[in-house]
Amino acid sequence: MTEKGRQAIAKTAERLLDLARRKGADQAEVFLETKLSTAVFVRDQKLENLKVADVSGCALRVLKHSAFGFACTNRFDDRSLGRLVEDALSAAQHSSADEFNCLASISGTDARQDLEILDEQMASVAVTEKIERAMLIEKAARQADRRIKHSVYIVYADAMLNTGIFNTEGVSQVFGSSACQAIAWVGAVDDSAVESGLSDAAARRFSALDCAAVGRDAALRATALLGGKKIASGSLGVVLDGRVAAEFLSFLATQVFADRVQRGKSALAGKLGQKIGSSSVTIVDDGLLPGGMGTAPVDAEGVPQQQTTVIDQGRLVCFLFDCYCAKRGSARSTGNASRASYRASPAVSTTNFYLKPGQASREELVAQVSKGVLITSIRGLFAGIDVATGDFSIPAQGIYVENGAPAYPVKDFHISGNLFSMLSDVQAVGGTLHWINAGRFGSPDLLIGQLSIAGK
Amino acid sequence: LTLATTRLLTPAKKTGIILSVSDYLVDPAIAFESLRRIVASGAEWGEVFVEDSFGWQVKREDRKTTVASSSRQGVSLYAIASGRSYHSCCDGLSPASIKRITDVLCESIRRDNPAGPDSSIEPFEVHPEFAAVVKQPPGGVEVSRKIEAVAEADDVARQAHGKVSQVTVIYRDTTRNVLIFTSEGRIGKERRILTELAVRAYLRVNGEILSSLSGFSSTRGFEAFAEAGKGPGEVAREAVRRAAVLIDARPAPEGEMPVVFAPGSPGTLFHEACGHSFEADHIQKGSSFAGKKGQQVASPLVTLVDNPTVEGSGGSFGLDDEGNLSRENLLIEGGTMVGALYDMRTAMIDGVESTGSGRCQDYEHPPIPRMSNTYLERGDAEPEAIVAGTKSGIYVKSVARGGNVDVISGNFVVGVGEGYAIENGRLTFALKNATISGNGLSVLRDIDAVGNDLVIESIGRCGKGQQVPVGSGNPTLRVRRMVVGGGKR
Repeated sequence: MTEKGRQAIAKTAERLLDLARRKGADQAEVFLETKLSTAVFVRDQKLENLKVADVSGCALRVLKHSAFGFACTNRFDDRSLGRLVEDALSAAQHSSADEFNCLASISGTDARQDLEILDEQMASVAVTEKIERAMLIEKAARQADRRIKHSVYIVYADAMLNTGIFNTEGVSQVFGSSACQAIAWVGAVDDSAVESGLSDAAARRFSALDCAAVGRDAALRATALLGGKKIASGSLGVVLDGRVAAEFLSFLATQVFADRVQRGKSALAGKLGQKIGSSSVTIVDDGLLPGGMGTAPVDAEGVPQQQTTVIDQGRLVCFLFDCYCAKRGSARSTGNASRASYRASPAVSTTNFYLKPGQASREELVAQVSKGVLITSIRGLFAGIDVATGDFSIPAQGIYVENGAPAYPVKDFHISGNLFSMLSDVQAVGGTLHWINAGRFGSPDLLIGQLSIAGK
Repeated sequence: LTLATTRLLTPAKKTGIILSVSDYLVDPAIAFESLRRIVASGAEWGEVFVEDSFGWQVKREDRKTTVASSSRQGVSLYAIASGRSYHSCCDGLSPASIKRITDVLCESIRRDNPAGPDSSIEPFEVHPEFAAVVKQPPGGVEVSRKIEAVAEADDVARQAHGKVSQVTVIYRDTTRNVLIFTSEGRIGKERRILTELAVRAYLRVNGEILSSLSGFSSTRGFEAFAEAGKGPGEVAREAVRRAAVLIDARPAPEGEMPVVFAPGSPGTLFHEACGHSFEADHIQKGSSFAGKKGQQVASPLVTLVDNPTVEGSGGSFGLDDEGNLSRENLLIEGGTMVGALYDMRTAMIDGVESTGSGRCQDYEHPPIPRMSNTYLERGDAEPEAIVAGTKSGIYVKSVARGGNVDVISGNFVVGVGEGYAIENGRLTFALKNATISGNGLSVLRDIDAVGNDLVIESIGRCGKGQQVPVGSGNPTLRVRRMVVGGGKR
């Protein structure tokens, strides 16, 4: 970001904070965001939709008599900003006082430069080049296998962001970031069936995004399922593909949010310090992972992000906190406040949440299974898992494994078990991280002792 | 019903007097100048979409209330040329920003397409035949009254059952003033109001957390709370009742079996499992209903409708986001596929009229084919007789969130919220953690009984890359066989 842009953001924020204080706020916080984004959708090597957006917005939180008021707008003229302050104060007046309401009060932390979250070059990439990138995703998928006939979604998308967080307690941060993403969702067709395959990848740098690899991976996932057979029910050894394991992690993550724990909504409430996974399971939320898609110098409240070990060799050691939960739980914020956009109030979320990889290749994991399944996709996890207990039963697809080697594709079966029992039954961990959800959740392949398979 | 499908959307009625500039959020002269340039750059169709919105949210959790307000204005330009579409947007309504995004859009269009005709556009106004009736616009209702409604829901929920350990209540209202100009010269205006309430109750029983959700979204104003079943207390009691049912719930029977659906809430399943496959973009991508128009795709008992003109439902609108008048669309009639949901782009590709189904979340997103209120029409059977005629199976009163469908294969899975086992024609025990999975095409073929008691509900939004409010519904009906999971561990 230019120094001028940075100053403009800071100036608006300072004006708002000043106005809020003059109008009677005890404390105030401003969150500003500017976003320049492009999205390219292609199908059959033809542009389907090109979307270019230049939007920005700003949110004000005021604290008065221990009650929060929130208001947001995308207009920056004097009248709109005045109205914003009034709306926030009026909201605070109607909100309940809560002794744990607070703003971040950390000063003097300069934005770190070693996070690798900004690619200045991305701004100068021509639209035509972005369209070519999207075409490349599809081309790679079609070239990987002639049975790839459908393109459901082929997307290249990117964004250049400037984020500013300021408050009356000394937080003053502005930082720039960039992100790009490739998505391939394709369908493979043979005489008997249509199967679909989905893959995606995200990167902070334009040159780091391997579009062709995403296309090939989606093609491989779709074609691998063609000719799938039914499978007999039973208890079998299982290898979870890293993308599937990461889906389970994305559910697990919701259970370690301190707000859910404190409000009695998490299955892990009261389990801190207990062993909930096998010793090969170490799960980290790393807000400072260089180049990570959830990496930032500070979180959405202005607290410096950090690396937090959540599960250490199977033991639950820490929940994820924002400022409110930290005060309520007499803990320190772990820098996990997040906003989906400037229009959302901050809430606890993950940054880069992943299971630490080990050494094994997929072949080595599969080799340890005498009779079982390599699970390559699951459907509807959030529908099929019981939040209270972690019990799940969900449709899955995969590759049958016999005597340590992949045999044939299998489909039309459910896998069922308990998420926590499964974590305790992780016997070995693969060496490569697979990221999903635009790079926010990652896991290597996991070898699970046994899962219940309900087939024919 | 059949009449509605033959009523064409365009040419729209050329009625009404053009209002003065001050009556519009954006000067029509500026919008039409932008559209003239877009057409001259090679677009076959274009629109200027203007939005001015504001709203309030009141959330209560842990017996604490937080209030938030939001407001924004923005403009987007959208153009179609040779099946390609182009979208560009900016904040605010200033002529300078509109000119800037017009430059961006025209440059993109010119790159891919030959130049188009450069002629002036003759404006005319369109007036939707369907307009939401709003008696108490939420913008004019005191925040304190919204807070009272939320507090009432919280109090009632906490008193409704001894095991209630936590309650979350969210009230939200949005007022969106939308103004649409199209390259045909059309000017459409609509005020879209959405009033929403959601209550989630948590019960703690023997150390286990049981939770359930109840709520609604309505295109009416604050008066929606006076409707039967929509009072804050009623919604709260229903959330607690649904959660309390889980106390004595047992694992579901597993395997293939008949499934009877109660009217209303299970409509979400048909929205997910079947509706999405009728969206023209999915059909053009080879969805499970591609190439099946005119064919028998469902049991003769099935008539599937998408209707944006259901009074009060959250999925209703008078104009779609491309300025087309909304109308009822038949998708399946007596088991035969008769229609699909088109926006302008997919309609132009297939050489048909838009069905008025182009919707966008807001000015930051382009319109795409979307459902509105999607439901299975009522049949002749007595609901009680359907259950009584089912020897063994399950009865699904509501489906839970988190469903998932693969539009290419048609395979789907949804969680059962409130469900019961059926034994010898009678409902017996409540089910815990049941899921239903299957294939959208097979489900429609396997419907073997349809009741006479249609209910349409709307709660929340549907996500398809962007969120829009929808409704769905069904009468009591039975699917001969579906895969029930989530039983024994």
